[in-house]
Amino acid sequence: MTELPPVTEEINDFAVREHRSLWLDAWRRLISNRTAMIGLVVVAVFVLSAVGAHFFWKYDAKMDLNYSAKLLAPNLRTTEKSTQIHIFGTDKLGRDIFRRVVHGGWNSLRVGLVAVGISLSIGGLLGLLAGFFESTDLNRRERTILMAALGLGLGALPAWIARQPFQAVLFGLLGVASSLLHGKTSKKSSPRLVEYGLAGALIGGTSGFLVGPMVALVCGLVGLSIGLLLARPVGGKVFSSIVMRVMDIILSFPSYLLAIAIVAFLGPGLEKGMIAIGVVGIPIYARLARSAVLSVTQKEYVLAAHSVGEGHGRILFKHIVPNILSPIIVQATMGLANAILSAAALGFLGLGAIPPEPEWGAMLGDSYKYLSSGAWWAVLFPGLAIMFSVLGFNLLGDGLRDALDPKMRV
Amino acid sequence: MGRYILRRLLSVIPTLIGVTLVIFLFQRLIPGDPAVAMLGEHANAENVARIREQFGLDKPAFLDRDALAEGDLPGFFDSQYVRYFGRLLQFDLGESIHRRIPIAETLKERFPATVELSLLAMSIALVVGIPIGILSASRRNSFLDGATMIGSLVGVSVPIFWLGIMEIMFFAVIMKWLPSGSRLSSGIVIKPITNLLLLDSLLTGNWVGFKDAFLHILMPAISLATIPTAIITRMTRSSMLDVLQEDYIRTASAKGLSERIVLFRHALKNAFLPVITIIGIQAGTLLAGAVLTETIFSWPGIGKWVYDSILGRDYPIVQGVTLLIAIIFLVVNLLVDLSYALLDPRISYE
Amino acid sequence: MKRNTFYTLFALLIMASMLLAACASPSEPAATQAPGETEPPVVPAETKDTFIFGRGADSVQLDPALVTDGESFRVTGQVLDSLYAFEQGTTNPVPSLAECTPNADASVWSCKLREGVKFHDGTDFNADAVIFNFERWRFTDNPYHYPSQVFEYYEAMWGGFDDASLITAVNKIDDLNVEFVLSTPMAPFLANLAMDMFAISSPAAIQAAGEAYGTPTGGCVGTGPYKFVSWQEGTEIKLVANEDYWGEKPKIKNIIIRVIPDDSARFLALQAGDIDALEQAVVEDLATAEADKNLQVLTRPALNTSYLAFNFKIKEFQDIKVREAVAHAIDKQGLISNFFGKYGTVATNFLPPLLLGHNPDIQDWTYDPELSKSLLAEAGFPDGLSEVTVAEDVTDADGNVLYTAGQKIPLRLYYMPVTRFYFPAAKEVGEGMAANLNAAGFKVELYLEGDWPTYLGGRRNGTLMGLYLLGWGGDNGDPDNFLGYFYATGAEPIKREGWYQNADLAAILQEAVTLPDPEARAALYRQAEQMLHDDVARIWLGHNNTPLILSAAVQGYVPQPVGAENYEFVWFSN
Repeated sequence: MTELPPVTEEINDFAVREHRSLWLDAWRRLISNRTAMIGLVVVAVFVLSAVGAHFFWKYDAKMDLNYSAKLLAPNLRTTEKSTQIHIFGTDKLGRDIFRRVVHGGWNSLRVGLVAVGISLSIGGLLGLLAGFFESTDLNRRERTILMAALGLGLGALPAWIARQPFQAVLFGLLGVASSLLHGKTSKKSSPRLVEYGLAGALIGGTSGFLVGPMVALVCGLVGLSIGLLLARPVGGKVFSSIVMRVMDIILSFPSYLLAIAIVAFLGPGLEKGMIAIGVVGIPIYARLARSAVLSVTQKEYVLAAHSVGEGHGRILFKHIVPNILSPIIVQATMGLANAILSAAALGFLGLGAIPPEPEWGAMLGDSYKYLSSGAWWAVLFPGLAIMFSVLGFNLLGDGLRDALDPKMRV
Repeated sequence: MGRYILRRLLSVIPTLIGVTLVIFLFQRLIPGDPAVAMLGEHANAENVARIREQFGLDKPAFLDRDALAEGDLPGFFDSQYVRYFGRLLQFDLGESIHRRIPIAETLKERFPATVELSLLAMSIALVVGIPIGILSASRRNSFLDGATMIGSLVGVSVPIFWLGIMEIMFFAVIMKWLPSGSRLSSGIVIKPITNLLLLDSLLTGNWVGFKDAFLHILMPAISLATIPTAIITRMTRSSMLDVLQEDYIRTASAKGLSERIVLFRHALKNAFLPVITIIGIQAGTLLAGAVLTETIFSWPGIGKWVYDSILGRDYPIVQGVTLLIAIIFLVVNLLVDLSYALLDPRISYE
Repeated sequence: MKRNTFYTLFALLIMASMLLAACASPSEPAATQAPGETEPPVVPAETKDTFIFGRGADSVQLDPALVTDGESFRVTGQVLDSLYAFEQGTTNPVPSLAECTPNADASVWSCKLREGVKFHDGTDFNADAVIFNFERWRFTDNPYHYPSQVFEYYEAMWGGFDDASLITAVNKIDDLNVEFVLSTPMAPFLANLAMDMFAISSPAAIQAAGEAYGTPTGGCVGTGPYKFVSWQEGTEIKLVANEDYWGEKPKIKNIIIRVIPDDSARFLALQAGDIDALEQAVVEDLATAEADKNLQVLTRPALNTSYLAFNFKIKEFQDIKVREAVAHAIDKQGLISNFFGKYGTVATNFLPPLLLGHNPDIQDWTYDPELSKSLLAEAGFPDGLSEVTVAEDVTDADGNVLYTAGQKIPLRLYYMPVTRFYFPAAKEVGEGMAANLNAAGFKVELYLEGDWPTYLGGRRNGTLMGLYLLGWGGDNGDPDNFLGYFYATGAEPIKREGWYQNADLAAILQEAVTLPDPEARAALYRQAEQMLHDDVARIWLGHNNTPLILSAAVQGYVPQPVGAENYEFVWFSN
């Protein structure tokens, strides 16, 4: 939708262009995009005012109380009634709304960054691994770790039933054994199944006898099935489908509801809100990272890296991550917008910042009941602040998408 | 094809079980004892013990290993989760803690209110979003296109609770055109058939009731529709643009077919696929957004109900409603996947 | 085939949208027409026969014996009658379903029941019905005294259940005469009988509904002027006039009691004519209402007290200097005039001025932050107080330790999650008070402890570890219902009082409740108030003359200081 930047001068210094990095290129495209620039300016105003206010315009919300100035309409000149200038008016406790909106920005910014950080670091990592191992076979070491973890995890059930922690360890070892022995023996799968099934039943059953016959029976049965599961060393696909299934489960709860439930569990407060919003966002990044990884794993440079025998970690972080960064950056920018919006919703419902800490959603929620007495300013300005900051991040994300991936232009 | 559908259907089951597990776990993890919550101010050790026994809260959460150690195999499985799951299989959602009413009963009243609101919001989103999206794609870079893009971005950025308040302030307080909340004015009676008031009033030919119900639903539906409308508009536009750049469209245009035929015959069909996915995802967003919208407009739906119940620690309600919403979400996504398979020739069904 | 499938689906989708659009289109003219109307779109033009009351929260239960909240009594007060009632607008008990006379030492009361009264279900009101109700409340092994049910008020007003009950027997003399035998003489006996929680339900209805009696499905059945019709949870309760009522026939046919939680939305609904009356509005709306000629404001005489309480299991609060510092830090006048408006008065006593035993001689603490700071310094906190120490283990109802002795916790100010008739703006008062305290050197943190039942549970178990806001509304107009409930002896009162113990005070209060002479009682209560003040046991904040806003057309609505208002006298003028 945007006009292409003029290309004439770029043709002249072709050699320079060779050296220009992808990022510089993207930056050029970004600043030539008008909507993105508007977004950038809005975001910059928001960030600078919030950070500036936090460090240079101290505000002690806990002491702020002035009955003589309560519920004053916005004024640009001092009058008899309001001896001070309140460009956004004042609230029920006579606090200057402009000041609280600006300081509320600091809180919103923190919530946004931390929440996106949580979702991105957990979701992104899970998605990265899921996508990578879905298309790449595990190497020996990874398989051993996965099988050991699987054995430990599955073994926890009989161990818990029989109150014998060592059972879990035994099953973990069984997992290690199965992954090590895999390939060394060329047996058909049916004898393997029998072997491991028996081993599992024995581990579970015999130690279960120490507690009681019925426990032995149940643990034996559980052990048998664990053994059968461990008999066939798993591939990366299992890991990927477990992760994605868990993501499906999180995703099938409506986001606000899940966030509310998490806050109800953790208790109110800004920090708890950050965690709740962060957790709710995990599946989005996991899905995005996974599909982005899948789209590059079959690219020539990744296949080449595999064939020269580079380690998985190196391939992942040297070749794959840099190439999937752009959709993730775009999503993270938009995710910031979303996190600010969700935080405001939580605040509005009374589950956000602890009063009297300024927070946009809570300011809205508290002033809402003074609407019928005509105090529109107490509701209008925090709402506008939410809207413009969210809009800024959305515009920026949109522009980034255009800039980082010309093909994905929307 | 049949196998694909079957496999897709079966894949829902583990997710569903996972959902029940999470819902159950949440109840266990949220601080506060349900038995104490149930008794409120009356809680004392004796009463609490009695309530625990009555509701099976004295049982262990998942499996009873102590029973097993005593050789009691059925007792091993007699746990809160197993009981909960067993009741679910019989479509028994339990009863609310504070008022002791079966949840299914209240659901019958409350669920239609949310369904009505969500359906209306969704149809507003479709009726507004799709045509505008198509139009703006066909006039790329026009003023209309620019306005659409900005408008849709503003749409996803507006906090809907704030929009709702602003609507109330303007339409209800200042102009007094629309009522500020609830589903119906007092004194208006609509014979319940489906409990969807708009539909019921139409079916019974109750025009006074219809007008009243419509005026009440208008503001909440518009607030709720804001985000889906914006997203559907964007999605329609962008997938239309993608399709319009394909070779077969260029060929069709080159053949001299009129713009309208190219647009509606060739482009629309293919542009529709991603839009359907978005519609599915938005169905979930609508149910989530209902929590806020219903709170602001005192709409007696499930969103407000479950929010109140979370704060009041009425776990059976939270569990029941969350499960219902999760199931709806899963079913809608299933339908989207299936319709995708049905519509897109490139997807194979092995 | 694929092509066909696509078009079928597309056509279906379009049809669905059309259908829904069609749903919308016929009313479009209506919507565009609406701007022309000046009236809100509610127009049943016939004579009004429905009185709609808007309130902030739903009833908890409609079996009044099980609950303590006014929102439940607001409904049961219309459906059920007690043996005695409070005279309109006063706290005097007057005969209702019965007329009782005491013996010489007021330990046996003979009651003559009203003749010819029937419950709404057609069964007779008689001695058996009275005895059924009292025995159900009293005996924990009564088949209708369900294990999950706790008759809290019976316990509070009559000393306990089973053998602990002050009512040792309710004897049937004949069908219309019963006698109550008390273990000790009791001054407020008739006032207790008049309380809404001791209203008589139909035994047949309780037997039929079992545990569901009082729930939305079971409803309630009494002898009152209105009959229960339906209860849509969280939304509204409908009542209809009882044509066979024994007293004055109700003037209005239908009553709807509707829940609109938000103060602002409720007031808007009243202005729009959606409801006829409401309770609880923000101060600014009250000013609007007074100026509006379509509305009237009535006030309920203040029989309530809001307060700031200390948890005495906090070591620092055991020092009277710290408590005095808190008392001098709070700008009561500012809080009351800004958040209660002109309906509130500053409190110096726990007992409101209307009540017997109110002590007008108590000199309130001055508002003096500087004095607070110096008091704090004297108590050993020259740099202010931001962290407090737990003095003893605090456990929950289960015996789990929540706070261990010696633990340091931040200084918290718990605020109520709801507004109540004694506390019109709890959150704002909390914020204002926190600012007051911070200005005087206390670094308090506002703290929200769950929803309302959770908050009350925390109070009851003494687990609100810090300063907390709360209030109390009298239920029968007797001073014992205030002071005795909190400060007479026993483990429970000590807990719900934030672990405040004062044996001398308890002795005085126990003596006061048995004295027949009002003047002698008043003297004792005045003494008790002075003791509480001298000890800075709690900081009384205000008494609220709870305002009710009604449409100007509503007539005959008399605010009751205690108990439910009587809707049978309400009518509409045109």
